Amino acid sequence: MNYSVLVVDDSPIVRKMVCRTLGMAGFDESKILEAGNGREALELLNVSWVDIVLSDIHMPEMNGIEMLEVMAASEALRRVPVIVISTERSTKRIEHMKALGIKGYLTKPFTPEGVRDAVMTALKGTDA
Amino acid sequence: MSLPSIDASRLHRFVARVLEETAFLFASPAEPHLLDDDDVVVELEFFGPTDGYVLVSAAKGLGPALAAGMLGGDEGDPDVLRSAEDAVAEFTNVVTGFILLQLYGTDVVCRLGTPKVMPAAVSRRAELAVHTNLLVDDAHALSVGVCVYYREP
Repeated sequence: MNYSVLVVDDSPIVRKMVCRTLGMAGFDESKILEAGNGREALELLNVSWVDIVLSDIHMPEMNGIEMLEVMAASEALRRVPVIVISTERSTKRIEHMKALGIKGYLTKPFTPEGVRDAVMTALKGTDA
Repeated sequence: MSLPSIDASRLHRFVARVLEETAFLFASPAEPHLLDDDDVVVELEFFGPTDGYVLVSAAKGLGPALAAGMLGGDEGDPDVLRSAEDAVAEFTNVVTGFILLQLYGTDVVCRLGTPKVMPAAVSRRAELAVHTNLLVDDAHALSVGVCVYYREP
């Protein structure tokens, strides 16, 4: 599948797990970008075409919610679908992220099928 | 107001489930193991209605086993060996999410720190209010403990 995916998590092993899952689901692993926090992700989003973002919440420097708030306020980045993968279970925080426009939410531990299905659902209707 | 508590048997079941779902590792109950200098010890603080931390102590061989299961590689692969501590840290992160759910439910917003890998000698293991001990794949000792306390005014 010819999509560019950005995986955002401060844990390198989680990024590898998500990349591996996407590869098994048929995504081109050479088109997967990685960032270790929200700030790095925004820098990549500003210089690279990204079809979908998979992001953690709890990260140093800039967390996932702060990243979502910047994306929601940006005309250019608002269109990029985001799926959050986190240990977070607070209803209030999840509702806040939904209000910011996330297209999916997965709790850790995640399954490869869960990631694949959430990504495919979020990409439906996009033009990539 | 009393400190929130967590049930040790539920903690045990969830830890075993996380091991199985993230790394295809199977665990059985075990006697407490004495903290070894070679253990990988990870502490993760949380801040909510009460504060506290989760402490995970994993025998040296468990990190590569966890990483191998998470990445689908062999325990001897250089990439797997490089990821061993990170695997224990991520395991701690997932277990902490469950513990916060048990302590506070879904109505409360908590803040998580960053998992800290530390020498066994400086870990605050003696303060743990509840803990569970497991033997993973009949080979690797693992203990997971929780400490909850009120913030100093």
